[in-house]
Amino acid sequence: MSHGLPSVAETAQAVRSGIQVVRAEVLPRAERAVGIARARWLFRAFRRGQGVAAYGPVSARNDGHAELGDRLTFLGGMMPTSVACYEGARLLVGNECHFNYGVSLEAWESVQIGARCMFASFVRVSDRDGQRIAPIIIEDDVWVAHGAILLPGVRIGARSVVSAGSIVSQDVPPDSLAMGNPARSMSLDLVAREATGS
Amino acid sequence: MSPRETLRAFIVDTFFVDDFGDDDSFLRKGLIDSTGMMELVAFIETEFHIKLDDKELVPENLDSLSRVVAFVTRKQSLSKAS
Repeated sequence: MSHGLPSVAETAQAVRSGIQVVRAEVLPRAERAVGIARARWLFRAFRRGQGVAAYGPVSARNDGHAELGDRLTFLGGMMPTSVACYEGARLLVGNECHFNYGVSLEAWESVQIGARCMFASFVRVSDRDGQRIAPIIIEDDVWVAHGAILLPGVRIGARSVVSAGSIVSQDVPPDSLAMGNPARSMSLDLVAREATGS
Repeated sequence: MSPRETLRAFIVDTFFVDDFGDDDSFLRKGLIDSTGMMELVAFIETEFHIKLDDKELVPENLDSLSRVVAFVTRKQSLSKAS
C-alpha cells in the first residue's frame, strides 16, 4: 500500500459509500422535512399535532373544527388527497394515522378517526351522501383498504379491516373484516392467520 | 346429496383443494381465504335457504367442514321449528 494519492479503486469505494450515506440517511430526512413543511402550510387552518407530514398534494379546507393528531402521514401519488371540514362540522383524526393518495375525507357534521388507522388509496369517508347527514366514528387501529367507501352513520370497531372496494352501510364490530356491497362483517379470527381463537 | 357432500363438493370445485379432512381448519390449512369465506357464506345462504347473521360468522361455526355441517344443520332445524 503506497502512502501517496489514493488509488482509483479506493476513490471509487469512497464515492460509493458517500452516495450510500446520502441515499440512506440524508434523502429520507430531507424528504421528511419537506413533507412536514408542506403539511404545515397545507393544514395551516387546522389544529394539528407534532410531525404531521404531507408527501404529496393535499387539498385541505377547514371551515369548522378540525383537529389532526401527532405524526400523521399523507402520502403522495397520482391523485391529490382531499380533507374537508365544513362549517359547523367536527373532524378529529387520532395520532399516527396514514393516508394514501386520493383519499377523500369530508365532514359535514362529525367524523372521528381513532389512532393508528390506515386509509388506502381512493378511500372515501363522508358523513353526507346527498340524502342524509350522520356522524361517522372510526375507532383505533382500523385499516380501510383501497377504494372502500364509508357511508354516513357507520361506526367501525377497533382493529377491524374494511376490504378493498367495499361499501360500508352498517356498523362494523371490533376485530372484524367487512367485505362486499353492502359490506358484511365476519370475525377476523375466521380469516386471519395470526388468529389466536380456536 | 347430504349437506356434508354438497359442501365438500362446493369447496373442492371452488377452491381447487382436495384431500382435506372433515376437521381440518380452513384457515390453518390455508384452504379458504377471506374472499373464499364470503363465497362459502353466500353458497350456504342460497343452497340451504338460511340467512346467516354477521355475528354467526365466527370460527366456531365455519372453520372446518364438520363445524359448517353442524352449524347448517342447527340453523335448518331452527328455521323449520319457527
